[in-house]
Amino acid sequence: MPNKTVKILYVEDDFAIQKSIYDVLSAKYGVDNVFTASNGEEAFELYKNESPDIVVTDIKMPKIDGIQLIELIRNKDRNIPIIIVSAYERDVFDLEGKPVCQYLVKPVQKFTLLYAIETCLYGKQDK
Amino acid sequence: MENKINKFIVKNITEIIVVFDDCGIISSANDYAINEYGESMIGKNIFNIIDIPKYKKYDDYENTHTFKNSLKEHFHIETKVFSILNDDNKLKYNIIIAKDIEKEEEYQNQLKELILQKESYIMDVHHKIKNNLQTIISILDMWLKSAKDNNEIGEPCMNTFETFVMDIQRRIIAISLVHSMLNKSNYDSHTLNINFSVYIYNLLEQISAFFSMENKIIKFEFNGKDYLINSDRAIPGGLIINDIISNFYKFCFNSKDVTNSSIKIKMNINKKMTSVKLIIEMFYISKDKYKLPRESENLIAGLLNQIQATMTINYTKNKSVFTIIF
Repeated sequence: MPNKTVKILYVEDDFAIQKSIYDVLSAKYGVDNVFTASNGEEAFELYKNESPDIVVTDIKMPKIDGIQLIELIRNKDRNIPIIIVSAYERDVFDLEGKPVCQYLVKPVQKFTLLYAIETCLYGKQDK
Repeated sequence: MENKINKFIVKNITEIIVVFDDCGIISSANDYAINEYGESMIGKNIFNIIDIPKYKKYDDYENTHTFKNSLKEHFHIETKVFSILNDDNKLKYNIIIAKDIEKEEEYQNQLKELILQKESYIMDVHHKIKNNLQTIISILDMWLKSAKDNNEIGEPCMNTFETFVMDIQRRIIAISLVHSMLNKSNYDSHTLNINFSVYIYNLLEQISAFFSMENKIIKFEFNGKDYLINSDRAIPGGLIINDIISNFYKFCFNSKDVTNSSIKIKMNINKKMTSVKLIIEMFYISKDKYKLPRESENLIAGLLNQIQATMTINYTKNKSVFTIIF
């Protein structure tokens, strides 16, 4: 596994979900490298200030939602891996022109999310 | 919502039904026709109201005509006229059934909107269920972390506790997959039936993905057939399969001497399509036999009873076979 520091932006408006995933991500990537936001607006500010390597986002959120956030980010960077974690099925949203690396449907276990992050960052993982 | 739609349909019957004799005199009309005409139509001549041709008998006549109400307003209507005859083949009366084309279109659009609204509510319900299940999984993770950080449970018990939490999380995932399928278009919205084969495959993939996170993998082969099952039966069914398969994974990975493990699952559906036989074969090489743990046995027995399914188990050397009839 590459040792380079990875910066992750995690966007989720549900407190319990955000907290538990933050714990998992910070344990793996370090507390200084995981940034959390509760809506798209906060997330976009963090994205501009922290330049994360990967974004993990929910869709249904107050203010700017996940789809709008992806659009804002894609206007600045076409290549940054983005993972959607939503309780809605993939076909509900029009992601045309807003490519994402992985779409995970909630509920998701921490292993599944970590595996998806590693796959998006480094390609298919050896099992 | 269903009731709302039914009421809407009854309230919005947009068909004019009128009975008239050989001279065109109206003997009866439905409420919608009377309402549209503006006053009682009884005794009036149909040919002054709807411009249908005068025939001695109407043999399933169909055409588009104009309906003229008492205020002399005109509406386009799709008209069907037919004659009811006596035993001696003489005319008893004529019936005209006509649809207001514009109102029908408006009504169809409103109905479509109501159905879309209903589908959207259903989607939101499944979304909320899945989100709540995610919250439960997250709370369990937080609980586990807190127990670890604060050393609330002694080291020897910690592994058991962690296994226990993960077992619960996998069961939650098994339940959530049914809601995922009910959220997609691949289910019957009237019966809430889902394709059991697709569900089992998704479940196997989830279990496999869960264990492969720790670089542990068992090859599985699934020979499924399309079989619709109600979601009320699919959830207990999924929990049973989850426990059988997950425990086999744990057996293989917790013991160093287990090798060559693989799983084969076959579905046989009876001719009447009323039941499905699921044969789960687990192969391995070990000095120990794979057996279901006691707590899983109890859970599975309860779930089998709940959905009136049966299961037989055959433990032999290097092979365990579970045959379940749903």
